Amino acid sequence: MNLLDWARNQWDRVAAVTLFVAGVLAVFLGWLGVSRSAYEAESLPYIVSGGFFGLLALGAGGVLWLSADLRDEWRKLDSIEQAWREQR
Amino acid sequence: MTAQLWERGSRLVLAAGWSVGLLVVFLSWWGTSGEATTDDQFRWLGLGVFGLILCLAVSAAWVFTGMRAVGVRIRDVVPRPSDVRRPVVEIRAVPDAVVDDVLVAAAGMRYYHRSSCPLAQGKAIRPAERAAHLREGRAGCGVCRPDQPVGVSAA
Repeated sequence: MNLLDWARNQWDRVAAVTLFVAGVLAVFLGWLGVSRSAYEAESLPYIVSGGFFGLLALGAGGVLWLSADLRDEWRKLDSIEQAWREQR
Repeated sequence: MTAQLWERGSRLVLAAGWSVGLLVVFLSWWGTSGEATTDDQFRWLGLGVFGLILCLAVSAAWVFTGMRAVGVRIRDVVPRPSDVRRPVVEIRAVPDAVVDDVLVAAAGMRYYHRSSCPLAQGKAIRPAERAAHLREGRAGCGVCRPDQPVGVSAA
């Protein structure tokens, strides 16, 4: 299985990692903007754009990762149910 | 057909929650960057916090719904130990044999037994008719039940 097939199968985990990276980057850029602002009113938009959107990206990444885990568990339960039915 | 992990309602709540939340955060950013004083900016900032909480709340609801569905399915699918069929082990205290019709007892015993009864093994037993045992004041053994038809025992 090449990398592309793996990424297609694990699309939710790939998206989660991408969002993690984007979130960390957004928070970093927000911090950079705030640190370079001369006064408070100039820094608040950076807090919203960098901080809030960064947190949202991190949250979305976490949700995607947990959803992928739950889907894996669901598929395992599918196979257990099938095996159990065949045994009966 | 296999059940879905998340129902359509859960998907709709997640999509709607995130759409509204992102829109609210975007509005917050737009409003904050358009104001010159921090007093005015904080109102927009509060709106952004609301959007953030909304997104995180619907995400938590999504994950908990999935976890609950998996938990319910585990209880339905994974067999309980009591459901697993095991072969039944049959224990016979008295084997089916003609010799079981021979009733035995030793001197001083209060009960008479079938010759194969485990309680009669290793004792100085002598065969006798049921009437003879009864005359000597003995009763039938409660384990091998010599008064019952062959093959019926307490075990």
